[in-house]
Amino acid sequence: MRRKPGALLPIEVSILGAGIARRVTAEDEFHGYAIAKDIRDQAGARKLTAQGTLYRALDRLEGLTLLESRLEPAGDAERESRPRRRLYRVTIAGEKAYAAASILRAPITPHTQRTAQA
Amino acid sequence: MSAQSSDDFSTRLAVYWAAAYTIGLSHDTRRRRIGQIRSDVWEHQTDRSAEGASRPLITLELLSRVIRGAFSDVMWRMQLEEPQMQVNIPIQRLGGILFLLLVAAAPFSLSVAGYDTSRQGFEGELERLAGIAGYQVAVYSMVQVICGFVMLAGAVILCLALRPYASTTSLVAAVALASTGVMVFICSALYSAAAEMADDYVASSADTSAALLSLTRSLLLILTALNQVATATLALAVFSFASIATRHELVPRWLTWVLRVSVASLAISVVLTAIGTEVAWLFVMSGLTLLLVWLLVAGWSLVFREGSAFSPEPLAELV
Repeated sequence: MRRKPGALLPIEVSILGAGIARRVTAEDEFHGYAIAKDIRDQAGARKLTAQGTLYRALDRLEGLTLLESRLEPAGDAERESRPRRRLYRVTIAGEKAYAAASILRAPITPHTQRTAQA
Repeated sequence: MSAQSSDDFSTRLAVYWAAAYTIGLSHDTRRRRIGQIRSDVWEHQTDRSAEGASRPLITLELLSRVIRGAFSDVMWRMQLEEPQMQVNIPIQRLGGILFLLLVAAAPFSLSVAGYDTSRQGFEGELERLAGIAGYQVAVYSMVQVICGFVMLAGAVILCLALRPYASTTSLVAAVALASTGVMVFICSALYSAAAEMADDYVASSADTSAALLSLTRSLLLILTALNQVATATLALAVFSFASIATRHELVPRWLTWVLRVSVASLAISVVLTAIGTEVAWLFVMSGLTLLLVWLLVAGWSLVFREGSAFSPEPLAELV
């Protein structure tokens, strides 16, 4: 079944949620592996998100302008002798999309049922 | 864990897989995706190593992440490709892939397992045929059928690919290739039947063995003759496709010499066969081998043409 344009998949909502949650620790930006780890920890899962699933979702979110990314300066990676990271950040549009998706995904409680009926 | 670990098997697999499914995309897109994967693998190894995970476990985890994500990778690629499919995969490249497939198909479909169809000692030949296990006969026949389908599909695609350059020659080539495909189907059926009859011959009584011997020999004579005709039609198809590809410089110019030497070898073999010299087979094999070399190089060149998005050069830089 083809999904609606702009509709978010659970993994995409999880990425946005984890990205927003990182702000609590004053880490505005995150790289792919870090967010995979956050998602695993939040979900209490055993396995990390597969690379194909993760980067496809990240690319799509960036395409929807819900995320923005930049390649870290080469000097930072060279100092630590590692490949350069692509750093992502949730945009304002991403925050709004996450808020909207969270409402839709919230479990139905008597309170939300009443609100819906009203 | 240092960056040295990034050279291990799982890293290579992840990066080469990313390089494979990004073939044909722009250099920036490839560099970006492969960069993401390299960084991810490094972070995974470093993080898990710091947590005390063993190296084999980390490798398994990474393999699992690559394999579980492979479907998404392909879907991502297809979504990215959709608007520009015509640009990135022109039919000539598909033709190149078919040339490469033909290189694999030709030896299987045309290989004559050296049947000695001479009247003298044909009993020994039948016993040899009966000695081949049933599953081997089945696998060989199945491979031949697959090769036949490759040839039929190849005839259609190559005809479509090369028709804009030379409509008549491409049609001749396509008909020749399709005929080869059909003959390969028939050869496969004849071979299976001959193998069955060889089994019957070994188990038969003296009354029926003579009739079986004669019938099986007839089948193998037809099979041998059909194989020769199929080889000739395949050669005709390849020469026709080759002439179009060479004339329009779709393949490297030096390949013309491979073709010329191949034609010369086959022509010499015809003369030697007419004279009755035994070395004729050497020239037949040389001519056919050169044809396969032509297919291999031409196919590679069509798929990975220099300067195209399919060019393999970026891989060396990226990996």
